[in-house]
Amino acid sequence: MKQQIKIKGTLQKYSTIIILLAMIMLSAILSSTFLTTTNIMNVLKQVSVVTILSFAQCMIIITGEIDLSLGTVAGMAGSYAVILYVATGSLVLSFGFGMILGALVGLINGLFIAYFKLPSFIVTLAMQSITFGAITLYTKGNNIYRIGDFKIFGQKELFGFLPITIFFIILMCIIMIILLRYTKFGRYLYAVGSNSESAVAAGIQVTKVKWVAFIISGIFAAIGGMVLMGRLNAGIPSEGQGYETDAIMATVVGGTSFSGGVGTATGTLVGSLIIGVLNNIMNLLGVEAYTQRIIKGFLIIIAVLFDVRSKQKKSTIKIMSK
Amino acid sequence: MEEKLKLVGISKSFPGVKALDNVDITLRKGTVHAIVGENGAGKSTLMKIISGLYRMDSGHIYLDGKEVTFSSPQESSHAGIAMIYQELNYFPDLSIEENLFMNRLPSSFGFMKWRELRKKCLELFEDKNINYHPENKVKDLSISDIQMLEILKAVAFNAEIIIMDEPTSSISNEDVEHLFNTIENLKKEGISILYISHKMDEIFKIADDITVLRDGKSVVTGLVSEFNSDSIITHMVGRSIENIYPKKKVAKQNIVLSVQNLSRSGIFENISFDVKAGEIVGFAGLIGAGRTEVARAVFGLDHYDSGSIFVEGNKAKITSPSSAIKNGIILLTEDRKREGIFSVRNVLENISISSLRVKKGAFINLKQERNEVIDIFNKLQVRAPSVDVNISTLSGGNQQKVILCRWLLVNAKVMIFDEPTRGIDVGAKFEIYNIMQKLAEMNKVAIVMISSELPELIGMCDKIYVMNRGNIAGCVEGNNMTQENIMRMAAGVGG
Repeated sequence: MKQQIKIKGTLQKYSTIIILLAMIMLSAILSSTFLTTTNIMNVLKQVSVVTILSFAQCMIIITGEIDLSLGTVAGMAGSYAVILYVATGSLVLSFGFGMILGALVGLINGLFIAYFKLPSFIVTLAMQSITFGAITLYTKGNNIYRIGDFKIFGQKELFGFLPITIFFIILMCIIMIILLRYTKFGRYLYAVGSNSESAVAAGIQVTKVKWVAFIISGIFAAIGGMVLMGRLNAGIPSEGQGYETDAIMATVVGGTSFSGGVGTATGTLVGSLIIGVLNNIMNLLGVEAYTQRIIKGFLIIIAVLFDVRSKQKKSTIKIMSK
Repeated sequence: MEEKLKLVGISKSFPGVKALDNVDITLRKGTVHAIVGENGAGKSTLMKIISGLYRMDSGHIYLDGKEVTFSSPQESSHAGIAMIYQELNYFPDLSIEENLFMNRLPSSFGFMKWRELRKKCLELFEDKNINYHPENKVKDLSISDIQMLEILKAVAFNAEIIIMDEPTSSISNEDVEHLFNTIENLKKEGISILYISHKMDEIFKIADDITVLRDGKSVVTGLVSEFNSDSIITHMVGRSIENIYPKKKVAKQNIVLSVQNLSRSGIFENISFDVKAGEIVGFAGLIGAGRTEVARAVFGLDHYDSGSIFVEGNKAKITSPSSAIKNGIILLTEDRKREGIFSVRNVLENISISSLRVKKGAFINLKQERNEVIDIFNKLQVRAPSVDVNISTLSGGNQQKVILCRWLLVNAKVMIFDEPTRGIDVGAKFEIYNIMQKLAEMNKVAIVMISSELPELIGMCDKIYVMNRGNIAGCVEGNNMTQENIMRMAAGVGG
């Protein structure tokens, strides 16, 4: 009986990686172009923005909250950074400014969610509207073209071979792994999401932890936004919209529990790769864009179903092992 | 007077416990029959059997001379038995009238007949002392108002027997008077009442008959006038305490925790006590007497209005558990599930979480953390395959030990244990007593122990403060630490 439990546990632990590998194999069979270096690089470039935002979403969902403003914050902070770059010509200044804007939004989100204890769903939904308005108010609905060297955030190749977008994925993933696994703050995130009353009683400053999490989330969104604008070679505020749902999808597919307290950075990376591969193979096979949306929608439902089902199974295992 | 409800030979077992053992009770028509006993004597189980929520293993229930069996609360309610629970069930966001008629809302074809509902509600209110409009939301009423409404509802729906489970536990003295008047009126209308309580003064005020339950048995029954509070308490307690406690006296040391005039309006008043290094100080009292609330205030989980807390002579500014831990105070909370464990995380993280608070730097030294955790995990002999398993797979006693491990790693000077042995098996209980004794003896920790089990308090403590309705009613030490003395103070009988 014990052996059986162990195998089941291992399967559960690596289930997302197994799904990813299966999808890669299936894709390779379905399309001869899938496994070419160019196409693989393409997949990675395409998922870069979603992945960066997914790390933020993962961290927030671990605390038991949700951030629906990630997409529009990315659009706003990215576009303002472009505007500042066009005006000053300084990459460092504009990138820093973008991050500060993201942090500011996170600060406001955190004020209402962590301090005033409003539901994050409502606050960040409202923030979607506020941030989109805050950029289109300035641009009057126009896009910014001729962004000059700002495009390197989305298109440069480092050391002659490594696309900067992939570099960002790796960098953000390492930061998130360190944050979640090796810092006290990371532990507090899990504790708060697992049981916030227990967290208070264990001496954790729950308000502070949640607040800081939203600030980091805002910064991540801003970085994702600047990568996005670089890839687009333009400042297009509306392009950020919708990324928050993709980020939720990647996070949940990656094994993060919607009820909080469970989730990893690597799982999230795998989750967004699964979605990236799915998008890619559907494109290669010529699946219509509208059909793609339907398939992706069902995918999120199936992922949550797995999450819920595996929890129910765990409780039966407990009884058997007694 | 005729017998309204007669219980004969009621027995009920749960795995490992005999909750009720051959209980006999006779409730006469138009009287109040008090059922008294310590916490855990079987009062609530008995009530749930009468209501049909639990099924008895053996025994008979006679209603008006006819044998009945209830297999659900609906059935007993149809037979005219109403329950007023300690925890009142209501829908706070709905109006008074909706709450009152929830199971019988007037409607046709699924549509509400609001006007008829209002009419029925006002009929019910007639010549009763009720100042609320039926439209008011129930969440805006006081607990005692809601209780009155429950009683009103019971009467309105033709209840002939009303069972009240410690109805005064959460209402003010004034409201108690009001409740007693209502009960007197009910008696005049021929309604019979089973009144569950352990407050002596109340019983002598309103009860006609009394039955004392102890360890699931009905030990004595009769007219209230045949008893006095001393004899009742003796019957309630009446068992010998074996010497199972590892308690040893520790030489008197400096005062570590000193609480002075701590007050929180409506909850507790002018609470002052000292705890010395190596001393175990107990807090006894009935549920709702304010013991837990004082502990939570000292630990910063709840706020307090006035008073001060000193740790080793220095005034401690405690605003949150975080600041309490920094001041060297910890609290093992009463409700392990709600305010203790992180159920989806492993044992290791559950143990180390609070010690991270007192460590410097932003990063965790994973290797050192694991070593410290495994060390304490082994010392306390937590029974789990490893520290990497999920805490929810452990038994209650072992989960409690995990939380103890958590607090031991903090190296606190003051440790408050709120019901440390509640809901855990006997073996684990004694291990926890041993740990507490060692903490006092070896580590010179100042310990506060809150418990509803008097034998364990008497067995473990150097002195015991007894609380009654938010005040410290007295303090017993040495040979005065008897169950009789403590119960007398806790029940508010001048002693």
